[in-house]
Amino acid sequence: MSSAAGGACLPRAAALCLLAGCLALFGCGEPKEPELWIYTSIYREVLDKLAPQAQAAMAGVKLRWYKAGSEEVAARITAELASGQTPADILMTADPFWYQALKEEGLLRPYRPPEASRVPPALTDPEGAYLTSRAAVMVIGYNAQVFSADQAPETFAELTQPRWQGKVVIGDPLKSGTALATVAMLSNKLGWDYFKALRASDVVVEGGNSAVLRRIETGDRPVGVLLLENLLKARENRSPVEIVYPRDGAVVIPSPIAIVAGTDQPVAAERFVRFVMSPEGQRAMVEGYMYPADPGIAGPKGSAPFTRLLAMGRCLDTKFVREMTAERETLKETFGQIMFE
Amino acid sequence: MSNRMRHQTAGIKPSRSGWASPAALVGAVAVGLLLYFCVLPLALLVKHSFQGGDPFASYRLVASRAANWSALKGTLTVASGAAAIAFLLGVPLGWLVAATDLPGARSWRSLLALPYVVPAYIGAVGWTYLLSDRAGWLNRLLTEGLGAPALPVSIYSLEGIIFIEGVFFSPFVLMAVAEAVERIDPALEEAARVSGAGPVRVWLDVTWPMVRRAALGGALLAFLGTCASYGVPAVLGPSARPPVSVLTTRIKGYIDLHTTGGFRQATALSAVLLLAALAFPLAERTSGSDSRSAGSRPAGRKPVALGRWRTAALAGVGAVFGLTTFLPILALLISSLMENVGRGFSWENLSLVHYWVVLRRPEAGLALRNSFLLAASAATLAVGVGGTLALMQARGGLRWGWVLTPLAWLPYAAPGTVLAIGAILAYTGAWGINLYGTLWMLLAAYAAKYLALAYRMAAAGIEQVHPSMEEAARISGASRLRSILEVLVPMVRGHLVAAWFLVFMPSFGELTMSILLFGPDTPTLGTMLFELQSYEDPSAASVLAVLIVAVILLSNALVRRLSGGRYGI
Repeated sequence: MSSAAGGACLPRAAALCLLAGCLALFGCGEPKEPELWIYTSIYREVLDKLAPQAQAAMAGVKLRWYKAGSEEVAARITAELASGQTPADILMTADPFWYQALKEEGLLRPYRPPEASRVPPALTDPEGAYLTSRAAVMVIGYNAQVFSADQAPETFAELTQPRWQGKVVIGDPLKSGTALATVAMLSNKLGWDYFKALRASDVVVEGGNSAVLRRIETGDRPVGVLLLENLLKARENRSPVEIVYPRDGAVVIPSPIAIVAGTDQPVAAERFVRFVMSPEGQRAMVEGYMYPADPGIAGPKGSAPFTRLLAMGRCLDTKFVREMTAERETLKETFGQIMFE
Repeated sequence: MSNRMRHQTAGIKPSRSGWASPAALVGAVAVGLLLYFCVLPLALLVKHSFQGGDPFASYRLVASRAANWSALKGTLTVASGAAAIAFLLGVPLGWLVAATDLPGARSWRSLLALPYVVPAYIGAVGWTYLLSDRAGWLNRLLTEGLGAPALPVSIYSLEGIIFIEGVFFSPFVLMAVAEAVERIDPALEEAARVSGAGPVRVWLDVTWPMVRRAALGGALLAFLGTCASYGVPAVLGPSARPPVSVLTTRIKGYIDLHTTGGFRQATALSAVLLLAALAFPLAERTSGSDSRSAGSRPAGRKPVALGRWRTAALAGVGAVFGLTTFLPILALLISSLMENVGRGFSWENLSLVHYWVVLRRPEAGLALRNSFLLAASAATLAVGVGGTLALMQARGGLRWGWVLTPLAWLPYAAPGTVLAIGAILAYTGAWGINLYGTLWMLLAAYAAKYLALAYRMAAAGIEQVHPSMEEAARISGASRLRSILEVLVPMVRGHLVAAWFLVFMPSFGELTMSILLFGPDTPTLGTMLFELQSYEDPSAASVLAVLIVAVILLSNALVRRLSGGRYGI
């Protein structure tokens, strides 16, 4: 009995130590200076460069970053608003439809800084509820170990041809905002028959862009539709992938920045937006292999000029975003019915 | 002995009872925590599903969609398949490692719990390296290397999902069976043998009835866990032919609409999973016999001699471990060492660059510390609360005690995303406290999510101890609390330690809830993993998976060494 009682001491002592440790480590200090909460999906590379620069430019305000995928940020904001309020002051994610929806619900605070005048008018919300801070571009990638450049596909439209049967992977609009934007654009230009034909030719639908990239890299599905930035980064890391800017138009997806209507730091929020739209903030976007919204600043190394891509006419401009926002629920449903049922 | 003398002399004072007693206070705190952290967030969500003009509109909408019904069918198929696999793997393995003279039985027991250490969706990624349609390493070995006809096995399939989930949850059955086997009084089996029963007969007539309840309970746990799991079906389901859809992926789809209607439909669909949680205790109650031993682990238990089957058993256990656990972890290890998975196997492609990418991140150390702290605290909290609730249930004392069991199961059956959203609704100030952006928020979510595991393990232990043991202590004058802490707790120690690990391991690499709840200063391994997986080369995510396995194996070895082999998995 005594040995058993002695044995009981260890877990109890361990539990007490743990509790004490928790109390010491969990504690959160009271904030001393005003805080600006930024919810964003921008990549680590960009954030590593942008965050210190922004903090330096915003003396007197503590910048707090919550970084997650666009879907997670949106889910978090939705839940926070349902609970009454959100601590977020700035939103900076990839899904333009969401910003249009937030604007229609009156949840954004309009602001258009002078720096935004350099952004092409097609990418500018007329009321200034949200701004385009950068742009992602959806292209075709292929595994250069499997195909040579002259064998590679040249357009989105041709991916339904028998030649590509069982060789193509695309992103899942149910999981990725940029895939949703692409489906919105392609279903609008090529019709749903395009996706039905893709399904018939045994296309694989993967989650996000990095999952698509992995399928291409391993050669499982050597051709795929994914973001230019993933391909540029992979190429830099000596991955055997190559880029095709489809002749029928790479899909340009503007990524917005917006101020939350209920912010308690409106002045600091506006300062932050101005910083992001400034040449310094815009140049940081290039670190993440994305195009700055300001066409005057050079795009990522090894990429086609932004103006050329814009001229190809497959850009989710504000008019398109406005029209499609109400449709996105149906878009996901229709896509799901074609691909997953 | 001196200890016991002290008890007797100190215990002469009358024991207190009623609401003021320390035991009742502990019980009240446990119930309070249960209501506030397990029930409140989900209750708020369910309330949401009834909002709008017509309270049942979301339910009608959800029920009208054929896709939701096929998702329900998918969930039931995957979960029952996974439970069956967990059962078929866990029962023989649990018996072999606990009851027989299998060489290295103790080490096998730890190794066979490994699938549970690697987050299931990371295991799924490991398997995709091995068995993806055409590029899987094993598939290419079969077709190109061995000239097999073009019939590669694809992990992107219904069977693949069932297999991975079943293997992941098999430690539930294994640990429960092993723990139950160790508690069988060897005299019973001995008596059967002496009466002339052969080893198979002894197993079927004596051993099996004593472990049946534990085994079925473990399998039910696997069933419920699979119902609520998101990662594996999300990674593998959409690209399966035909595509596999389950309730959790549908729910996430509704949430990702980011519309009020979508959110309501997500909560309505989640309510279906919550119903499963309420039904679970009923299913478990009817699942088996009740075996109680008067003491703790029976002394003098001799391992069953496997005789000429010893080598065969070793080979079998080794093969199961190799095929279900070692291979995918090896695949993750290999992919973590490849500069780029696309360039295949070559010396030139061998690189530590991904380890460098992960370890040089400024938040890497903080994430490791946070995850360790959170997992250890969540495990301790869950064992404390779960153990108390199990005890109140087992030893009566509460008229409405039976209500507590289903309530404890609710968070376990809820998909992580749903629970996290519930936590945001409940703990951002509207309901008393604001845990926003702190580690407490994550702690509350982890402990709530895995409370049921600790609760069930503790209940299984307590059930096997006859109340007469504590009564003896109380007659000798010990208070209620003291009789529990000094008599009961040491007897169910093995169960409590197992319960602790059952909560610690999934919390350590938890992703789904963490990604919604973490704040700027509270990164965890899971949130780092997400970031690496979604943007960096996926090989970098393999690095974290390898590190998670290493940390858990090391801490387990350390705990076992320090405690002389008494604690650990």
